[in-house]
Amino acid sequence: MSGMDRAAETTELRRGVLGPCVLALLAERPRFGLELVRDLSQADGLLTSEGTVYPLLNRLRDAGLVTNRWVHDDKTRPRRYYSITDQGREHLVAFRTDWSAFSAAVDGVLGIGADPGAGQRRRRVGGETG
Amino acid sequence: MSALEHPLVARYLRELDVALDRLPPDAAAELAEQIRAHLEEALPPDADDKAVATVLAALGPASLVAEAAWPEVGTGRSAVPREPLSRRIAKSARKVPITGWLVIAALCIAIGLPSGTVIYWRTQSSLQFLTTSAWWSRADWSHEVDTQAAGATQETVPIRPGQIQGFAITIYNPSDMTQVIVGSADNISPGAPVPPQIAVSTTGTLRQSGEPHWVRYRIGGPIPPHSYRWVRVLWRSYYCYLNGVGSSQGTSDLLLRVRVGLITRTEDIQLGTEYAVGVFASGPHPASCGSQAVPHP
Repeated sequence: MSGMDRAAETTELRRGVLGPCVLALLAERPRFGLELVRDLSQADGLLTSEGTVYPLLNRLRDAGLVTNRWVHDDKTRPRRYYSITDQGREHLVAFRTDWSAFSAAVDGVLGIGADPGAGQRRRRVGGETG
Repeated sequence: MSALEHPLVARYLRELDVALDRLPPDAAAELAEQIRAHLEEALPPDADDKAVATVLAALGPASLVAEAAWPEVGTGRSAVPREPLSRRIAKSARKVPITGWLVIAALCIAIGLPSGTVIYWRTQSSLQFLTTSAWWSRADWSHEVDTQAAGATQETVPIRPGQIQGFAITIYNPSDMTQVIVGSADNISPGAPVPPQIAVSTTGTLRQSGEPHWVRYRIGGPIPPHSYRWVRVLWRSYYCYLNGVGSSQGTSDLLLRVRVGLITRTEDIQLGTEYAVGVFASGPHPASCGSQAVPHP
């Protein structure tokens, strides 16, 4: 696989999980745009272009998972704060469940974990009994 | 000085505006506002070029930000936002080669011209009765009586079984096309096995006396646009459809088959009064009803 293909694959992976990660951060507390972007950037490799977070936020809002409101503060400029909705929380819970099962399955197939050969062996056992 | 006025930021925002041009206006305006707010938060007003370049690099190319705002493939929304209808039509039109346009033009002419012509023919005004009328035969002139039937006035003459009877009227053509009377659409003479004969005068001369007999007639004759002609309606009377003294039958409107252009249509000419033949006590009596074969006039 070429470097370009690998980068595209990583981008697809990142795109799929970025939305739930945004919801997870907003589930902790409401955040304004730059704050949210900076927190996402803390996770290594999750965010390559900070500007793409805003279209994602708008899509989550259109889907009813996120809401936003303007907050006027004397000390700072007016900021748009993003919050998770009840529907967003339900979505996040469902994603966490799916992700646990999914990542465990992928880890198993890829042989990632405490025992690097576990996935391979499991597959062989499955093949023998099936 | 705001960070947005820094030359690098200003250039980035211009690129962003261009990249967002294909988004719906509301979505484009909102995203531009979010990016501006991000830059104002991230950069102090006196940020140097290096700091600005670092923030812009982290933000990502303007085109990438705009692309991320396009609806995703596979979610039932199109990947690329739709352009205005006029622009899409113009773009599609440019894709059609000149030969394609020639074919389309030929088809439009081939379909549109005949259709338009037929519509033009069909919308021409119908012929109209022009108030002048007369019974055709001298034998009928002197015996005409006005009668009433169902509240309508009838100009009634005694039926002369087996004889040619009828009337002549003037008809006006108010349309812009010549109309040709090709025949009658119904059977005026009661019981006659053949339709009446319809003839049209060859000229429109209207004299003080002598007409309608002083003009020549032609079966299937034309009436030019905005002109009038005498129209003669003759039939051979058939007695047996009239049941005794006091009965009569006739018509108050003339249903004609008229050719306009290449189409033939039925026109209903309202006569204003009813022309009828009847059985009078003092009138001639039929010899019998035995003969069904009544020759055409």
